[in-house]
Amino acid sequence: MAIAVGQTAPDFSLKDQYDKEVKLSDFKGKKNVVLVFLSARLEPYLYQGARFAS
Amino acid sequence: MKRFETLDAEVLGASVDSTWSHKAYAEKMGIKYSLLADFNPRGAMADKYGVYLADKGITGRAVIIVNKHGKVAWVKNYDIPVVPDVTEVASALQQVKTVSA
Repeated sequence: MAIAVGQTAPDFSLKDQYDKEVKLSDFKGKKNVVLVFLSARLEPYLYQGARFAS
Repeated sequence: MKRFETLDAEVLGASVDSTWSHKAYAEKMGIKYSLLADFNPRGAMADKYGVYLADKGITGRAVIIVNKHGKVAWVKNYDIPVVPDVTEVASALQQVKTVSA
């Protein structure tokens, strides 16, 4: 079951492709965040990436 | 992605792939937004959001909007062949922005 609307979003700290640590809490009070969960492996999902990149 | 920037939102992609494969993927696809490597421990972040498919070892396809107050504001799951509708996400975001402003 996916998390429900209204719940506190669990914080996380993960590295991005630039090797930069990204924390959800960095955006608190500043920006709304869109989390896009991509299914690995990447190959079958190239189209999704393409749409989101444009 | 410019569309999301104008909506004052940060887009973060996440999958259980490594930083290195994300780098290659982002370069190939011209992706500028952050792709987060949720692979150590595998799927831990997705699991917190209830979108990790442990039996398959992958993240389910989902888009979750977290508002400025750190609350989950919008959730949509997609079956694997379905591509998220960017327009729908953008309009949800517009709504979230209005509500949480």
